[in-house]
Amino acid sequence: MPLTPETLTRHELVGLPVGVADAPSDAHVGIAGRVVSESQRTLVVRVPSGEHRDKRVPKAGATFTFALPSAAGTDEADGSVTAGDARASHPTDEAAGARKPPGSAFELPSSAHGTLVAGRGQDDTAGVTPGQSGGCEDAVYVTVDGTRLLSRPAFRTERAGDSTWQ
Amino acid sequence: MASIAEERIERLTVLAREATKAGEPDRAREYVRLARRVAERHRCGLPRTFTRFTCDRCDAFLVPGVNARTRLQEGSHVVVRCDCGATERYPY
Repeated sequence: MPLTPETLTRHELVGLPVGVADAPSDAHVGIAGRVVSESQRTLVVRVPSGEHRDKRVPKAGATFTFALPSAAGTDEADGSVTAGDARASHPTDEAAGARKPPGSAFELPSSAHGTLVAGRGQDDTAGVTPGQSGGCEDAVYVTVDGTRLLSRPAFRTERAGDSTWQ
Repeated sequence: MASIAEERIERLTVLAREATKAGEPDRAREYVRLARRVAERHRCGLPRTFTRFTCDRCDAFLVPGVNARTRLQEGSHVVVRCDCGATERYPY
């Protein structure tokens, strides 16, 4: 199963570009970078500053915005701006996607986004995560409530399984 | 279709290799351990490239020339030695 907005909470988070949209602590809001490590209750985000600095952000209470490459999970309702050329290059694009995926895993982008939304526009804008070099492809931004990720990294895949035997 | 667990292992393999090349062997160890744990939780096994290029003793991801040395025994096997000193022999 590819990495789509529906499978994001069960998939590997390490390596994905992430932004912290909301957090209990002001020090964590606005951190943007790549996930380098994950623990049961925290994510470690590498901020692309001059010297590499890893920020450890608690999952609980935070809201994360992950950027998925659109080839992995392009949404149908993603808007012609983003999906137009992506669809031309990827004819096998799934038509079943939706911008608001089913289930309660993903919250709508709230007004509490603040700086992040202002920096990169709304979800349907093709763009680059601010402060990231080299991320020039179209991306789908998925907002995830951090409490959905509160699990041991190796166990997270097992929840709500697509088991053959049920 | 590959399951999520298998895809996670693939991604972690790539990440571990990059981390080793970038000079972060401990970060690579973390990814290798996580991939092994995912594999055993899901009973999906590990790809052969993963088992061949990870150290059983110290969980390092082995990149020949960076943290591993490879030598050939004529006609019999390959020896891969991790920088920690552990060797592994694989038949032709």
